[in-house]
Amino acid sequence: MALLEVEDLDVRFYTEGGVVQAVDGLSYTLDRGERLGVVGESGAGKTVSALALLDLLDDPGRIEGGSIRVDGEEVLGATPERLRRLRGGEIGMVFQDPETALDPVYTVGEQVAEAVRVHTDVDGAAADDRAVSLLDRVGIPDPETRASQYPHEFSGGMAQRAVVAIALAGDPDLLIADEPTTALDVTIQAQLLDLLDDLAADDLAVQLISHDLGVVAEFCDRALVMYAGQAVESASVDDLFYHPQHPYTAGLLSAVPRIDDDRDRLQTIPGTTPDLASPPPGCRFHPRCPYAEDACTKRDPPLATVDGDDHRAACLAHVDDADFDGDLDFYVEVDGEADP
Amino acid sequence: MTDPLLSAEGLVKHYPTEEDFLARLLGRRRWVRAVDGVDLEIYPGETLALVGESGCGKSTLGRALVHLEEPTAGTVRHRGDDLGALSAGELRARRRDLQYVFQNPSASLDPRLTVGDTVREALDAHGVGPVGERDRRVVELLEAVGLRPSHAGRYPRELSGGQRQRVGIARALAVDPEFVVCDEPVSALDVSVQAGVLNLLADLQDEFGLTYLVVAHDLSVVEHIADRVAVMYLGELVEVGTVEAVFSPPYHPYTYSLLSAVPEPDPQWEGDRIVLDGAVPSATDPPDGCKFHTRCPIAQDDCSEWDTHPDLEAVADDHAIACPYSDRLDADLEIER
Repeated sequence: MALLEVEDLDVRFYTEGGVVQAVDGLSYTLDRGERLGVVGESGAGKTVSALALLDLLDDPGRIEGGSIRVDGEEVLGATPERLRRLRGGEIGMVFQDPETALDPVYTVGEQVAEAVRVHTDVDGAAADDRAVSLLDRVGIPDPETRASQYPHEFSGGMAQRAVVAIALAGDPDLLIADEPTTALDVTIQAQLLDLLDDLAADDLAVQLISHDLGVVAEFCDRALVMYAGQAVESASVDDLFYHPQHPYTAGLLSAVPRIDDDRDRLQTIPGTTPDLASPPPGCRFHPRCPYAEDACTKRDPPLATVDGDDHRAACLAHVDDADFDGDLDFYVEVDGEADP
Repeated sequence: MTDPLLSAEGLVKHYPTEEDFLARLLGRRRWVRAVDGVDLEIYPGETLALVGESGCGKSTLGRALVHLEEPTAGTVRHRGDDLGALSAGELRARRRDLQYVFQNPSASLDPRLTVGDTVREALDAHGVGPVGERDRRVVELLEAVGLRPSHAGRYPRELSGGQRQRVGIARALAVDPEFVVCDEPVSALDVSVQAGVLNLLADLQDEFGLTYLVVAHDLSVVEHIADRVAVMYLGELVEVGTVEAVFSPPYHPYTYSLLSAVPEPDPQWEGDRIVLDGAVPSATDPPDGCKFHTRCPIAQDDCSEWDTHPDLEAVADDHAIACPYSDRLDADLEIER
């Protein structure tokens, strides 16, 4: 059984400008110890879907349907008490900005120990000791001294490690990391990815939300590409980066500047992400898609299997009974050699 | 060789730390050595990228180069004239030539001004062109940066991040500058939007003959847009040269560490990654000798001594490295090329 099963998740925001369908029919699974990358532009629903897992959506956001199962247990609609145990218990969370995740008026050690007390049976001074060993586990040098310091005495990278220590306090099976390295320098990012790598080797599953395709390529086993609230492609990272099957994924990949490529101009994806209060009919990507045909304006493509069980893409080009005539004629070049 | 458009010599910018009254009274005030002796030349029509980790002083250097910050010591010359020797009025007139695009497009635009007013304000402040033609000029500028004339009536909150950054660029271009400092122009943007802004900067450079200083931390972006690169560490330049030279051996060990830390968007990439220990030391109390020695993967015994403090030495035409041991990098780290 998969550790996490999300099925047909719908999240809507009820705003003055209308009902925003922020997450629309999202389904995916995550196995124990697996590293799943979630990629897409701002507003694609990456963060909202992660918050929905833990019932952390603020007004006016609401989960309108679907199922979220952790180890087979339905947690959508669970009691507040059960959800409290879930958050920081089975599922730990790390957000983008470590400075806002830590409380400036408590020492870092107190904040980790607090998480230990809430999520485990360990109490009193033993919790403080456990906090120090957690700080040590996440690679903070001299953890006894650092435990008694306040967040402002931590650099960005060290603060993010402390946030990871808090997330680990309840000995979670799954760590959701939302852009954990975006606020950090590339050198510090490399250190933090090393740490996450080390933790994942201990059978911790990680759902890594990132806009950086390089980070996902390096760290993840599998990736889910989201666009306008929907999953548009899901595959192993090798398949996704070498054989993308959705025009949006191909567009994202070609927009990334890479060291050692000598293209004069970067590819852009024309247009902007749609207003989710009134999404376009049919495939939500069709107004920006270079391959769009008439059929794409009429039918919302399901996430269909392409070459093998594990690779799925939501494009009419992969739907057998679709009225789609063209071909997706993109390919990935590796070191100058075409690999179609 | 042509004369540089802008040149800095021995440029220094120190800030006092925020400390209490008593420390100041006792003369124990401490200084952040943000820029600590930089020589740099920027040539007409080129794009020079300034890279380094946060806190290395790259934004301060960018601001000091156009005298948005008064340097503590050293000179900046624009077309041979010392900017520090100009009167306030002369410097103000000079600012038309030297423009700045800020990092965060959401914070640098006045939320109460429409896009048209924001761009027009720059024209009015510098008295550019006849008053009656300025509205037409605003429309031209918006079109030049890929916005529609109808955007002139919108407020910043009604725009996407990429559109706001384009407004910032339009405002800088309004006064027809020669030189534009772009401080992290795309770091707040999605990759699909980032590509559009980078292409726009290149197009505008071709069209208006602009010279850019791009402050950036993303080396793959830098490689894409820059002609030359200056790598900065704790207020000093450690490597300067053409993009091709800086992004290939010989490397300063810091440059190599930065380059090797960039995640490759290729799941099967297998390279040698140097993961530096710790973070950048505090600029109030930087290490002696070579400032990088505390984190350097190939540091030698004498690197910590002040009198071995390395200067930029030319290793080729238009390529200088401030490390006497850079030729040992491959051997010491057992890198095979």
